[in-house]
Amino acid sequence: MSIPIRVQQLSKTFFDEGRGEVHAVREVSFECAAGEIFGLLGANGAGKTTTLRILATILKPTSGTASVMGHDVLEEPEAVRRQLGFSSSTTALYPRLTARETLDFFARINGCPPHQVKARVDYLIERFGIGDYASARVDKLSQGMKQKVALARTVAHDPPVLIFDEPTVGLDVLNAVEMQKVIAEFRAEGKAIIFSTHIMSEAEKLCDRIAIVHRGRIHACDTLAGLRAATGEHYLENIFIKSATAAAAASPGEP
Amino acid sequence: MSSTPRDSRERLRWGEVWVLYQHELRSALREKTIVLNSILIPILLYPFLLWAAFTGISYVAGRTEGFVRRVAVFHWPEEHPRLRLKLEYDNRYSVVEVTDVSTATNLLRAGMLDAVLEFEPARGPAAALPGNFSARISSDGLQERSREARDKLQAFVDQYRHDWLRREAKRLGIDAPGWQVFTIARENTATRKQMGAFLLGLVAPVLFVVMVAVGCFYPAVDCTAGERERGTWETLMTTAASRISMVTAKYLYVTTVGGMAGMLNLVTIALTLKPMFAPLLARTGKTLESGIPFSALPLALAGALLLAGFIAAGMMLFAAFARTFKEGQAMITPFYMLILVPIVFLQAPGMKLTMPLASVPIVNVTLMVREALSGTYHWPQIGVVLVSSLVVIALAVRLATSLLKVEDLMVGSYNGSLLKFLGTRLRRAPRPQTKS
Amino acid sequence: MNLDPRIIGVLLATELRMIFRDRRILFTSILLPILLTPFLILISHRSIRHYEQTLKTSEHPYAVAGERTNEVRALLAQVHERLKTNQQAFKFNEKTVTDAMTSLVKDEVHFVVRGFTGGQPRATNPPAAKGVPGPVDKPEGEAEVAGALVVELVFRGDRDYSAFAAGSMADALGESRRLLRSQALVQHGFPVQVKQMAVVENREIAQPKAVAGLRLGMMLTMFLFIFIMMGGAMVAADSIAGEKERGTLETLLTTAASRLEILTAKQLSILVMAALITLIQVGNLLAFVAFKGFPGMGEMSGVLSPGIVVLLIFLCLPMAALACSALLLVSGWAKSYKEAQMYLMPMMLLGIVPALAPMLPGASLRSVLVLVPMANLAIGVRDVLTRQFDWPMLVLAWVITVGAAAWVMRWSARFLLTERMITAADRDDVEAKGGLPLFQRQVWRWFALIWASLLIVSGFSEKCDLRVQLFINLVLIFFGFCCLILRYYHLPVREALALRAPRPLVWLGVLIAVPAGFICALGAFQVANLFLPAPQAMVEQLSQSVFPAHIPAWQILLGISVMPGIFEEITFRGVLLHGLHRKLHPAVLVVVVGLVFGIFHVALFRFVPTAALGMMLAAVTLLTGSIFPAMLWHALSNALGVLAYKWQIPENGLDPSIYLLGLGLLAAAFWIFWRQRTPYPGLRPWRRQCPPG
Repeated sequence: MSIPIRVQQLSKTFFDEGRGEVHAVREVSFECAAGEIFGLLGANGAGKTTTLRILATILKPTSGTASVMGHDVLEEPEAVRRQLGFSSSTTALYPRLTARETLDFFARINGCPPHQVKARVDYLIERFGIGDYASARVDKLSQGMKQKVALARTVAHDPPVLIFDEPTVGLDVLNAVEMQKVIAEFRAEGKAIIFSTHIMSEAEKLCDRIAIVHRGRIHACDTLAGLRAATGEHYLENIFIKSATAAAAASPGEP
Repeated sequence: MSSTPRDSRERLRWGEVWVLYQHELRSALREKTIVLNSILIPILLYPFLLWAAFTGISYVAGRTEGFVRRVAVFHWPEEHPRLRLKLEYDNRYSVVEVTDVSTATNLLRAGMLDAVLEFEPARGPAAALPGNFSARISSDGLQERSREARDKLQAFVDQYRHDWLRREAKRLGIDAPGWQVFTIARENTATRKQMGAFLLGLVAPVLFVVMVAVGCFYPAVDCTAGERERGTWETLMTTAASRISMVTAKYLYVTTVGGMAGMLNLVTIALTLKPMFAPLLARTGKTLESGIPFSALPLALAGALLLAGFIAAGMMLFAAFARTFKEGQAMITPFYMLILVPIVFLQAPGMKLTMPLASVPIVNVTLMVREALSGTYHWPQIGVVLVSSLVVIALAVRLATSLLKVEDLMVGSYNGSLLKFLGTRLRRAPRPQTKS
Repeated sequence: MNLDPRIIGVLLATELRMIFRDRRILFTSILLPILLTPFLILISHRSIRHYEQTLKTSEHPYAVAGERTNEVRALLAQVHERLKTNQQAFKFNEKTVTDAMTSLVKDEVHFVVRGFTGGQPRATNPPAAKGVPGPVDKPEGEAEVAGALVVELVFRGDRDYSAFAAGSMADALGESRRLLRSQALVQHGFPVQVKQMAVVENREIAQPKAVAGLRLGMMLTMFLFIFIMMGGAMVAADSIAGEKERGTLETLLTTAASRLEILTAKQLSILVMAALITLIQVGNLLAFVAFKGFPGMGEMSGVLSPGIVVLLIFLCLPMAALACSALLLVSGWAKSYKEAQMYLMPMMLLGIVPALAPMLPGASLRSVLVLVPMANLAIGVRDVLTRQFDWPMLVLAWVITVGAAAWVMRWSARFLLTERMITAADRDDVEAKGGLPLFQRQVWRWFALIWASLLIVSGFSEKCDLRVQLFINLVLIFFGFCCLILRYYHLPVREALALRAPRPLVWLGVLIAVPAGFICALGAFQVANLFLPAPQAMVEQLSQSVFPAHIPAWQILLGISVMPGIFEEITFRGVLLHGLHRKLHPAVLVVVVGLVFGIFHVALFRFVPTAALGMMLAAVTLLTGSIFPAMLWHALSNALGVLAYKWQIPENGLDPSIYLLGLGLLAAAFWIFWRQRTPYPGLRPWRRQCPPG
């Protein structure tokens, strides 16, 4: 079986009327195996979200390739999205649908066979404990319930690959911990997970391998132990600062 | 409500109002939506309409220019050679030779002819007059050209009959003055300016109300619900400014923008009215001057401000309950529609500013402006208009400030609309104010 | 991307479900129209009828003046008598006043009847007020007969009741005279009644159904458009812009549904809502017609047969689709619900213009209008309702409008791919920095303002001397606005206006290009004349106003050639080009600058030649990176026009070979410009370049 996520030499440049050409992502390469959480760690505007959006086929890469479960993001975007669950702090839920309708909708739209939809939705409601709220409208739900529905909706079609783009932004501690727990469960189920964050502790705790992204480039990519060994620092924060400054020194001309 | 003594924070301080007002106005001028609706549309709309009218007219003129009325005529009456000569020598007509009537009708149907004129000798009692005839004009009502040819041919025959009658009268011994009996003349003593003002009065007031309402709409939502949405409402509430100053400043700001939109509209429409109607009037040989007479300016300005004052107060009352921009919009829409109802009455000209009408909001100000534009001033009614509008505005502002003293409204946690709120509050006895 | 109907079905069902759960949308788009429309129609109908009734039944006071008042009074008494016996409702009432004309001015009487002897000199009516120009209309009426009584009705045209009263009085007097004449003829032994003479009968060859259909067809599209906008606008604003704002769009885009499927579903949901509103409104109107009886609506019933209705629906579908696509485009372009709404109003104003096409007299499908989407089908609907079936043109119109709808939809699909468009958040560096980037964003705003001021001012400067007009337009408006823009955005003058020296050989190119471009613009004018014939009267009027006889030739040359060469170039090839040069692809840039230049020449028939010249000038500026060749070209070209007029050189009907020669020379000139090019700096790359690496 092919590697679930493979990204090679991915670049994204876009034209901004104020800033001219912006190189959001430059020659990024990484892979992620099944049952692994791959972390993208970087400051705001480092290019994490752009990379993940390219993977989710929302954006098209300027150059380079990326594939999900062997499907190229440019060639077969629909096939890619069928294998993919994408969740971020900005992907919201439809406020005027009920929780059950939401799950039903996303299962169907993501190509879940019609006769299995009901069973799948029931399973999800059971698993995430939404039973009591299943027929309430999403805009009436509490923050914690919404988060559960959002997670359930991400895996509505049981995708082998999951992408979480800063999922814990705006959540309180309890909800964030809950979220981390669920993500860990998904790993145990053998899914390939990409997880981006700018919170160091989260990355330390959750990720099997971490890539440090700065100004569109990956400056280091290894397990936490590997990174510690390479930089000689213990805390991820310091590792991050060190590799970022080293990168800035290496290529001062880049904006 | 007024039983508890007011603490010092509840006082209106004009210094604060001025600072807040400037702040509101400055941010409004940087807000795309407001600039577009309150400034750009009033300025650009009428020139655009002017241009569209001009382009349309020159397109039509280009296509219809040099059109002659193509007419097929059958059985010219022998006794009336002048009839034939007159038509054939008129270069606006082209008399087409067609073999028979049915062919001509087919040509007419195909658009190759504009009208078919058939003469036949009169029958029955009408035949008592030698040379009397009747005429039949066939035309195709689907073709503009054909309709026009029909009307012109009809007038042509009517004119001929007129001349013929005069000749007959002369033959019978009736002299010219006797036949004339009397001449009817008409004279319009209104000047071009007065005609322009009349036309302006027909068009402008309706647009005036609509544009003041549009001008008020966005600022009213933006400075209440919009602020809540952006989260700046709370920031503002934590400042030392008193709430009544805040409401006053916001209210003045909405009024300013609305009034400005109204005035800008009135001015551009007055400026473009003449070029817009000139090509239309040129066909009827009339001209007009347009422009706001200087004497009407103070009343127009006062009207704009009063109207804006009323609409702003109403809109803010409704929008104050909304938590998001969208919600605010939806809450204001009924009020907006309500404003548009009275102006339907104003479509008809000839409504006068009477005393009862002078106390109906919106209608009174609109009528006042319309009359001022055409140079009519009913001073007692104008007084009533001013007083009644000010009273209504004062009431609305008072209501708005007292509403905003209520806590759940103030922090924006209230979920409902103005009507719902009033419904629940009025049923309950007014509670003494307990917050600091 | 293929469309899976199942997916579209799921999407559509969800969209509709959400729409129907949104109370606000239901309220504003459905409930309000249902309640309000009949109410408004009723009120406006009633108030107009009431007004007409009031005019007819109210008393109209008048005063009698002049030399032969007694005869006039006798005449009016006759009229009164006749009106009374006929039970007609006009009420006229004589009022005794000291000075009739003053009373008229003071509005004490509605009109004045003056009686005097025809053919004799008399005092003219005093003007209404001092210092204002005289009356609008010259006294109108029949030629006076010496010795006969002249009855003059003096009224105020700016008072509706005055004009109405005088008009009905004139009619009544005319009727009286007709009766008097008839009596006189009969007394003298005339054999027949006057009304039996030269009777004219009208025969309508069109079916009455078709004539009634014409009236319906002229307005049907406009109403359709308004209903679609009413029903679709809120849904559309909510459907993409609203989703962006709520963040659900990103969620949707990461599902397996393709973008085209998403858009199709959204388009369909808007269409469904629009259709619903249209149905409701039509039902509203029909109910109203059934109960109240609109004048002239009774005959409409025969207009529609089932076949026609099916055909109409078939024709209206692409129009509805186009309108919905446009709504969707606006929604896709906007970053938030609020912004989307802001764009909707101008779009409605623009969109309604083509829907008005059937009202243009003489507008037919066999003209350039067939190429205008929406307008063509609007005319087609009218033709169908008048039973004129021009099948090939109908099919062409249908295809063109469908194509336009598809194109617009493809365009909105592109927005779903653009980074900036997907998420609501945007960092606005541009606003913060100001300068050129900000100007680039606001350039259209400025040029709309310049255009509007030009139009507004032209209404007033018409009567001024040509030199004053030119000064106002060129120096005050064009140059004034340019200076304002340069200052406001702190643009460097040299770069903004492209004040650079071109290579020397370029000047030679310009000298060749001037006559060649002139001939080509004339050719473009001739070609355009086939589609949009220029009204000869307007062309002559323009020539006369541009080349008045009393101004010396050198002043005309200065005003028509040198000054436009400088100021118009600064405005269009300087500021406008600079504002757009990074926004648009160079080829598009040339076309756009040319088109704007054409639109600024206001008159429709001048559009094509000026736009052609504008494009050439923009091209030469881009190729040489300098405004000076364009200035020289423009000035010389205008001078050539002046000279051609002065020397009576015929401008139309030239030999085709001359146009070919012109085209060849133009190509040669541009070959020189190309060889000697020093391109305008900072242009977008001609081809999209791959980023390094």
